[in-house]
Amino acid sequence: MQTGSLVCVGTGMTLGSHISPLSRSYIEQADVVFVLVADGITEKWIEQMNADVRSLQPYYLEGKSRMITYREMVAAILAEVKAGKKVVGAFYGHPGVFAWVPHNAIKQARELGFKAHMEPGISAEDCLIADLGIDPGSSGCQHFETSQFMFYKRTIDTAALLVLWQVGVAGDRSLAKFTTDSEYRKILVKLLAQYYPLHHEVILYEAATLPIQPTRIEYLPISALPDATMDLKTTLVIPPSTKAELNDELIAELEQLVKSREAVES
Amino acid sequence: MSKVISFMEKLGASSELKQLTESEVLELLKSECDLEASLFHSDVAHMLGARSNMVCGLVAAEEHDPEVEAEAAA
Repeated sequence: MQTGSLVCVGTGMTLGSHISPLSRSYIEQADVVFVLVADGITEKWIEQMNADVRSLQPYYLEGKSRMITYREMVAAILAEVKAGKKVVGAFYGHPGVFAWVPHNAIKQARELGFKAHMEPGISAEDCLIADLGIDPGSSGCQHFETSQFMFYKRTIDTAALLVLWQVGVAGDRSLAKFTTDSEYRKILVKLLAQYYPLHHEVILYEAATLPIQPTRIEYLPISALPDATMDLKTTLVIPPSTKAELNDELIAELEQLVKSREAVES
Repeated sequence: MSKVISFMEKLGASSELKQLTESEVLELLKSECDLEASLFHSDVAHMLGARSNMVCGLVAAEEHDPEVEAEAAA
């Protein structure tokens, strides 16, 4: 095994509230920390934990494909691992949820023979569940990156929750925009209208990144989405619009199984 | 400035402080950090010299590079 190593940790969503003791310890003990968080003040907070904290923010550029940005971020992280350093990637929320960079940095580091692993964090999804008081177990839950949901033909279950991430850049195939406008969202609404009535109430959600910030929970009908304010932090939550139908055929089969076993036992 | 960050961290980690009103938090900020400050995010960020325009996407809908593909096609 080579001497360099990589740990990708989650800082959670809210400064001071969510970081785990273990993640903090990794940050404090690292030779180099690469940080990508959703707030400049949170970035300053991480900077206080280690003498060598490097922001990944400068890699973003409007008009440049985010896929190129992500590959550059992975390359920057791996360069320090290859130099034999103890490297930590500190990412907001959970480093493995809707996060290409940490997954790929770990994968590539392992392929090169370095030790690499992930430490979980409190994700936007975790905050959303708590703040909105929803239980994904009660109806089932579907998660998609919004543009991916638009680009590919998917089967949507309207009896389950639907959560669409990165709705603020809905439909951007160039990956070069930081927000898309109402014309893109009208196409998203057209797609959603295939499954839901336009008056169906949905929620725009943004977790608080600072303890002095409020959480954004905005209820609106699907038809109002094109004119709503959104950015990369915004998540669209669509509650179920129908009730799940019982699978009578399968239930009958299960009952038959129980009866046949009871017959054997008696 | 590290006092303000420490204050934010304490605020985020305390169930007791979470119950305070905005004006009570402001009073505490003034007394602990010896600062006349507002709780507006932009004011705190400016005071700390923090970045104001943060991007936070970490995943793409597709793994292809549109720019690279466009160059290859040209």
